[in-house]
Formats: sequence, structure tokens, C-alpha cells
Amino acid sequence: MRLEHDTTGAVFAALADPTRREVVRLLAERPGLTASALADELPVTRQAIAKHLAVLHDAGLAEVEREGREARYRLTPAPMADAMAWMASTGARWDERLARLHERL
Amino acid sequence: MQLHEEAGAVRRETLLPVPREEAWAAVCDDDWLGLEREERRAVDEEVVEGRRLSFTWDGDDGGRTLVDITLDDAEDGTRVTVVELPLVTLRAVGASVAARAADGPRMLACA
Repeated sequence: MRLEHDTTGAVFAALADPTRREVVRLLAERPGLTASALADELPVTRQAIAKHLAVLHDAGLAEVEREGREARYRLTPAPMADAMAWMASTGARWDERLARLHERL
Repeated sequence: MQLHEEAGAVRRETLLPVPREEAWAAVCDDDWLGLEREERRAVDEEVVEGRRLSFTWDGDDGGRTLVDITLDDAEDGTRVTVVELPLVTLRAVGASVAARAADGPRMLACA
């Protein structure tokens, strides 16, 4: 049961930041955007965008493609589906535990 | 701070048709979560008698999570609210709250 890396936690930590959620939205709409293009769309510096992209990449949510001089980014949403599945199954477990709590009264 | 789904916090609520002291006894009873707390290596974080039980344990995908159980008086009994979220997420949310608060006078924030 024990894994090396808490992927669910990393996904939610990545999505906890509103600017990063905007980056995710933009990449979902237009795969292959560059960091410069993202910085143009958002009220943050290119350096800040680079940091956000690194967090998304580390959480497994974005992949990078080097094309010529500028790197292009693409969303890899599978970890989000896993994180959603964790929420659903953890929620279901609490439903069971709370049902047992009722039975014990 | 309200934690909601967007932060990866799982939240469930139930109404127990008994007074809060009885609900608290049931929540703390070893027969309810006792075995799981042992299997998941639970560590108590905060216990407020009759009100709140909060602990960390091994969540379902292998990461540590924080479980927060609170009891409130309700018209027909006691409302029991449970929130569970990964610690990694809690720290990130705490850090971003601290960063936004950093516009004011400098304060040390622990996240």
C-alpha cells in the first residue's frame, strides 16, 4: 500500500494555486503553448510561469516538447483522473464508516 | 479556513440522533475506527474533548492524510463532519495562504 510518492497529494497541491489552474485551463484549450505565450495570457511574469510549469510537470500533469528554441507544453491529465478516483473511493469509505457509526448507537 | 473539493479535501457529514456526549463516546470508541487507526498508523494531532478529533494516518494511495472529525450540536442530535485530505496538499494550501498574507506586515508562518 505504501508508495514512494504521494501522487494524489501532489496533484491537488499543484491545483491549489489559482494561477496554475489557469495554466491547466489554457493548456487544455490550446495544447502546445509556450511559456512565453502563457505569460502573455496571464498577469504573471515568465519566471513565475516557468515555476508553475515545473510544479505541474513534477505532479505529472504537464509534459514538455522541445521544438526549436522554445519548449511547448501539453497537459497530461491522467493523474487528475487518479486524484478524482481517490476522492471518490475515500469518500465512499467514509460513507461506510459513518454508516457503521450509526449502527453502533 | 474552509477546505473544499477543489483543494482535494474529501468531506462527509452525518446526523447522529443522540446528544453530543454520546456521539463523542461513539466516535472515540475503539470498536469504530480502532483497528483501522492501528493499521494506518494513526497519530493524534488535536483532541478537543466532545468537539474535535484530528489525526494523520496512511491514506488509500500510500500518502499520509489528515483526518479531521468535528461534532456540532444540531436540532435533532449531533452533526458529525469528517474532512480528509493529503498532507502534501494541506502544506501547499497553507503555503499559498501564507504567501498571499505576506502583503501585510512581515509575519512568520509555519505551513
